[in-house]
Amino acid sequence: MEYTSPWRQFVENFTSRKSAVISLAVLFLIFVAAFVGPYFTLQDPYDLAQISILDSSLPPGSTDMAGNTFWLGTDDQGRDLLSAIIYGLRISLVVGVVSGLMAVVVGVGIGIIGAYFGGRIDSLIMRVVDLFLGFPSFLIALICLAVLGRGVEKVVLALVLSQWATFARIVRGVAVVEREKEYIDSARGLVLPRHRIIFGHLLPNCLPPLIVVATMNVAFSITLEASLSFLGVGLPITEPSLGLLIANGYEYILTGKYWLSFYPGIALLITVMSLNLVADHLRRVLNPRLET
Amino acid sequence: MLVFLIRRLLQSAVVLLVMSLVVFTGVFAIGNPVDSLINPEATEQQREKTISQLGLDKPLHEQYFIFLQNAVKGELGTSFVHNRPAIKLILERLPATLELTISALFIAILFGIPLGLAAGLNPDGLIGRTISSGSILFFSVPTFWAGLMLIMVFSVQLNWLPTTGRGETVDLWGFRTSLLTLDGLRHLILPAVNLGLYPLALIIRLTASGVQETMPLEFMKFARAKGLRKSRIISVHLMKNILIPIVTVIGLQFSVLLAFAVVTETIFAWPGMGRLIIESINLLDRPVIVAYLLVVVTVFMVVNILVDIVYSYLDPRIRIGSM
Repeated sequence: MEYTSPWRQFVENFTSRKSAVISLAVLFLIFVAAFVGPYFTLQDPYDLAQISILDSSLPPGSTDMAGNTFWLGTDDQGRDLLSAIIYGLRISLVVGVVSGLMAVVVGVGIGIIGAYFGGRIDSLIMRVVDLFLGFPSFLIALICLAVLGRGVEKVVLALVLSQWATFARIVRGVAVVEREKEYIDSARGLVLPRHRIIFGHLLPNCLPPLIVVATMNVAFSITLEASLSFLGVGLPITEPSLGLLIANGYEYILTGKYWLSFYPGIALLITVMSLNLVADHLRRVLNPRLET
Repeated sequence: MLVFLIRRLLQSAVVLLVMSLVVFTGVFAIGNPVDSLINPEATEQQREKTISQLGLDKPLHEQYFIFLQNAVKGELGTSFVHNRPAIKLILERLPATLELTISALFIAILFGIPLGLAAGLNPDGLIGRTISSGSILFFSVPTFWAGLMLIMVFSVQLNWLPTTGRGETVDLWGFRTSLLTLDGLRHLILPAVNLGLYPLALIIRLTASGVQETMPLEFMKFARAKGLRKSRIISVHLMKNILIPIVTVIGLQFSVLLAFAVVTETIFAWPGMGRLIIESINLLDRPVIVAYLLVVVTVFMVVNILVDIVYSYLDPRIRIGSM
């Protein structure tokens, strides 16, 4: 039998389904649009010199006097909605990815330490984890923001606090099993320093389920941030993420200006959905037995 | 059973106590409510008088002990804004929120289990694939945006359903409910569907994967070999075995929905406690925030105990005494 490296096996397995490839490609395009797009948009929607009140509330596909087309229409201040969405996407992605990954790092760090040491440290950590898991993450985030107020770093903190416990729980579950295996014994036998055993040997073997859940968690963080910002307790209006764009469109929904909240929502939906689909396929490849 | 209940209630009391301490300290750190309550032109004397009336001049631990003493008597402080007992404000709005949450869960169960069964029984067929991809869509769509889209389609474009409020309500055992009037039901449909989308997707996925895991097992083969009708195999042999994770998720989802009702209530102007908490956060109405949390946590714990009791009926292997 020919030898295929695990990485290659993984890639082959993942790409064997069309929808996996498509969702990954869409996700890639979204990131490109969010991080390269702002250099190519029609205007900087937050530079007052570039927008004109004369262009306000135009429906999608309208053209202004200079011949620029507003493909997705404009808002009440004459901002090009497509440009605003691309700028908003960047903010949503940065907040979602940063807080999603920070929650993973914090949760995994705490969980794996508990699993490795066991005993009282472990049971103390798990008590705290249980306390956090007893509440829906939306509620934890809402209360954190009620206490902290609005702001980018506050939203990130609230999202991390509301989600780290999930990762601590998952990584501990895997690590407690892995800890008993022989390679850990042999690492101990080599008298390796503790941090090397934990982070160099134990952690890599707990990774597969974590990759799946971390991907889903980024999607969830983006949704949470959008919901909180929509309610007016998340990001400040100086950081107009997709959630704030939708909130702005909410005021106009009854007057039939549907595009103001419709298109930012579609952008949000495609982002979250492609992340969830990628996570779904990762789960299929990495651990077929792990189910929601 | 009794021992189990007593132990669980004691545990719950401890969690409530810890929660109240954390929340009270946290909420205490929120800006100064006096700034938003007192007329900026008030004299220094008026200011001090209000502060001492609200008990804000005492040190934190003293305020907490006063709060605890009153909490035991069932009083959670007076709302700074409404000038009424906070607990009353919350409890008045609790039925509206529960009505919304339970209706949403009901919709999710009513459609989720049959759809999940259909998807799980023929996972590679057209129906199965459509249902699975539909569930990923519902899973990903942000609740608040879905709510806006529902309003846009069914209220603005089609003009079929109203967008705000509870409509006509009637008295039922001392609570007002919109479940018993046509107008109330018309008001309830959109918010309940909105809130129900996420648990619907979750129940579909869970049921489908449960069916796929259970179908190839020996006892299912045996049931078929006995020549049992397909309907009986599904409704008795299959359902009994996949219901346990579903019941767990429904229990957990109830708490999640109670929290997410904040979003739906804001969009549909549903007069529940979720809208109240957003207003209170914006106005720094501390007693209402604390009271809301304690009420919500109490509801969670009651639901969790109920879920555990339901378990023991569904799965004879689980004995309540051993929990």
